[in-house]
Amino acid sequence: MKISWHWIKEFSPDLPFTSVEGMVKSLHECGIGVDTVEERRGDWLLDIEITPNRGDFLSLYGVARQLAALHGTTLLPVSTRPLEEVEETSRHIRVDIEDVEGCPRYACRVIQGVKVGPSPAWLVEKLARVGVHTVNNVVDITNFVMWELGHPLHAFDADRIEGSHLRIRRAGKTERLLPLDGGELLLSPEILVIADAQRPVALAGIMGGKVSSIQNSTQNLVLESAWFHPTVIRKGIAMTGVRSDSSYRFERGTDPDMIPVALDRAAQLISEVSGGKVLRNMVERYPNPDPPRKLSLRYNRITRILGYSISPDEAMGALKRLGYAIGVKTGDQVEVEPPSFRRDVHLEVDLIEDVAQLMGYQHIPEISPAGTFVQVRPGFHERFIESIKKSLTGLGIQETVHFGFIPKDLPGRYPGSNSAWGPCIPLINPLRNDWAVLRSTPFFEMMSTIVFNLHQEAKGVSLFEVGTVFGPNREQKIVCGLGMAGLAAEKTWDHPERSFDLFDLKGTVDHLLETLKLSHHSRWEPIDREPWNPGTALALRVKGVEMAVIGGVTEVQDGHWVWYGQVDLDQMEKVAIIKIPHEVLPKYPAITRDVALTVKRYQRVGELAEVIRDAAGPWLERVTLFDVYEGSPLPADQKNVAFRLVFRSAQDTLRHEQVNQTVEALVAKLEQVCGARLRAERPS
Amino acid sequence: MNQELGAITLESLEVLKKRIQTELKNVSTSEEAEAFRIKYVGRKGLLSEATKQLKTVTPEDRPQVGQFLNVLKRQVESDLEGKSFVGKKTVEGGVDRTLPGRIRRKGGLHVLTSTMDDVKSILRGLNFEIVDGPEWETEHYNFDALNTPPDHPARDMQASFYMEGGGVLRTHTSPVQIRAMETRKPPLRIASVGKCFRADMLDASHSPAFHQVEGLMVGHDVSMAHLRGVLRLFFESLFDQSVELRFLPSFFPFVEPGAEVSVRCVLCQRQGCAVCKQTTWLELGGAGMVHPRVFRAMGYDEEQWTGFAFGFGIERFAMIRHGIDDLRLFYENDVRFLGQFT
Repeated sequence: MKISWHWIKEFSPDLPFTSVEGMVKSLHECGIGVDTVEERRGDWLLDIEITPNRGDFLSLYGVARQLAALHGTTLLPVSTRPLEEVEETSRHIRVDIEDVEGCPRYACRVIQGVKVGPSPAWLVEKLARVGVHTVNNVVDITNFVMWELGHPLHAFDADRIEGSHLRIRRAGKTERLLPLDGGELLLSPEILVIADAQRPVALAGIMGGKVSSIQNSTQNLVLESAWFHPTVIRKGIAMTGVRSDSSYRFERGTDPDMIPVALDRAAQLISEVSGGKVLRNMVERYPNPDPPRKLSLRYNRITRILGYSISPDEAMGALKRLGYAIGVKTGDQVEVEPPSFRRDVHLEVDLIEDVAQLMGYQHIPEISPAGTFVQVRPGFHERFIESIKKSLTGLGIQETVHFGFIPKDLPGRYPGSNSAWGPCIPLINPLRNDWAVLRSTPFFEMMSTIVFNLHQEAKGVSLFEVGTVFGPNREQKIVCGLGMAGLAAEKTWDHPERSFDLFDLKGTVDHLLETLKLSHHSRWEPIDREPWNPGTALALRVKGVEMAVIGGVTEVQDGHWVWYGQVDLDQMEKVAIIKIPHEVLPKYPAITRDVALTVKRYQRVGELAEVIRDAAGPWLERVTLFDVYEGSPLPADQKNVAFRLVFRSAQDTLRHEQVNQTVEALVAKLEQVCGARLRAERPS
Repeated sequence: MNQELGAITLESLEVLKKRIQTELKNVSTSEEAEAFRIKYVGRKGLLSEATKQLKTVTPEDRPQVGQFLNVLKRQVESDLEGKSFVGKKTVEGGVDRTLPGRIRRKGGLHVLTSTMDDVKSILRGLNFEIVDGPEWETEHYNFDALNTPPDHPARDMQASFYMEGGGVLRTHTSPVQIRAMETRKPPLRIASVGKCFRADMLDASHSPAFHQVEGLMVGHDVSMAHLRGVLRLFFESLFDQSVELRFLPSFFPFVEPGAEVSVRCVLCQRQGCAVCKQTTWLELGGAGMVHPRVFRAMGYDEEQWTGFAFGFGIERFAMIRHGIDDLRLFYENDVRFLGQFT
């Protein structure tokens, strides 16, 4: 909302601001934010931000009232003395409230013989300062009073009100209304309308209808000043999509006591600027007047909430300045009644807030809480995630963070992604098509980020993201996405370049398994699963449960080959061990044997390793594959494979003969199961 | 029996070892290195030959001699490895020591993660327990339980993303408070850090997804003065300097009294700068005393318990701490940017 310093000053001329900075500071102390400040012909125009609880700040008078309370300056009343004719208003308009809940109070006046035309210069200028465009002298006055006093008004062309009868009622199912702005609306019973004898003429509190609006030819007016319930207004906005400066104020709660004031103020000004004659007395319906709101304030509660003591006199003084009526004092508490414009005050703590704010939050001391210490060590989940991230960054992989929404059509461009990770759930109200569905995997964002980086200066990237993914029915779990592409190592003076491949990804996951003490329970299986390219993918089973899939994927946009893997961290957390037990260092020396084999070219190395592990007995500490050779002088259907085996006994020093026997048995097994031939076996 | 080798005893091997060491010192080209390798550790090299002749050693000495040979052979191999680049990369006086070193690079945490880690550890230091909650929330936890009923304009303060099938992407970490209070009895100090979503277009200071830290303390006499005391300690740790705290009146439905929290700009020290927009204050977020209606919704006795809550943006912290002026950088994931924080 825009405000003008000069206008504010009309209500409280002794406000002490000598600079706009001073005014901004005071506004801040009232809880009013300031977005922009502009100087215009000696005036300061400020765009201010009002929190939704303070509907009473949505006017120049309302802001001046608070500033005057803060500084203890005067607050002048506005002039509200329309010159009335002898003719009674009630002879020209009849009002019936048929929905008292939606409209507790309704008042109107009739002004006859207006000359609708351009507004006088002072009015145009004043409205311009608060950012309101001029329409005509009648509408401008209703806007003027709304900005001035915060109470929305509406003017009808009296001659277009059928039967000179206004009914405040719910709309019928088939009724229609053409509002001032926008197309014709089909109404419904949730919507409160102002109707004449025939049909709706306005969306109550939101917008008037076109037919009954003020035209240049309008001569007689019905001027409305009413109080609509915020909930009804919000419902109306939601149903029609129509909103206005009026509805903005009504939905934040207006002051019921302002109704006659605003009405008289506007009637007086309209007759001044458009020459109309104001009929005698307003017509008003207020069947159930707002009961007084009495609240108790306990002095010790102030101290308990704020943490410092304010004397009862100080507290009462503050509330009085804010317009509260101070009632009966009994012992250590007092009864107070908030002013009618404070629709936000309901509880004792609201009073305490008002006192604290008027006294100034800067007076609240800074105290360290006392108390017992409790255990706040990170829980297992947090330590698990931390150990994953530590492992991955230690391997040179960079963490990324993504929004979690993706374009709706993106999953469809990777055939199989839906069955691999499940559907992406749509947002009902996405801001952009790019952010239309919630991710079921970090895959899509990872792919874009990899390609983005390759298009920048990166020759190779290896990234991870630990984040939430979503499924239907608010299902959510934490996964780790891993993506690698391009060069794993650039060429250096002592090293050729090398591209990322499947085994970088596999080794990364293997490292995680080692970290989490899961290696011995894990098994990789070659699989074919979209969207991974055929012949590239591996699934990891830990204790029989699939926990990761890795492989190569072709990025859709520019065909980059990306190694992508995803680990289900929720599953892995269930079996991971991060409390690291100390392992006793070996007492006895190890014996190492290299076993070089010639096997069929299509023999899977993993199977050989498994046979070795199965047949090598309890002394086998480690198996490492250190060579795979295909090519000359070997026949085309053969290859050489070499393992290094480390044996050790926990009980005593192994003898070479013992190990030799084991290796012989093992080689025999390899020959029998895989058709392997021993090339050489030697102590290394 | 190999002529050069003679009888294999520990003494003769000791002599051999000395000879090898002397000879190795003179190796300075790759050709020499290769010749040396063939001579000693090649398939027919001296040490390999010696190993083959272990059987000629008396059974008592055999293990010791075998062990000696193994160690020596490994020593020679690794010494040679150390000289593997010799020859190609030598200058007068030895190895070209101006060649660049090999750097092993580790990866890094995202700067938002490291900021959140810091925030968590500071809050733990203040004895707050860190708790977690879902990102896709129910409207109950995100709004209703936080005194933000459906028809209240306060819902407009936080433009929300609603999901097909129900629920809302949490607009703040505050629902975690509620979930934590449901399963705990006061007194308590809890904090939650994580991703939130609001329907804001992406620009230098807004993003549809962002991160927040939320803190809650409930006790018998927890006051706004305690809130200020705790926040001072928190910010002093976070910004690594003493801070001046400012509370201004503000409104958040789940606290009353509510405050907007700022600290005196930690970058320009009252000079005015781009980060504080010349105001000398850094607005950091909101705080206040837990609203009695929130306690009521939790079944906490509002007479017995009082509490404070605060919420701040992680991106804002990271921007201030690292001098980042555009929030989009966090989500662009350019490795040149991310790599600066490893």
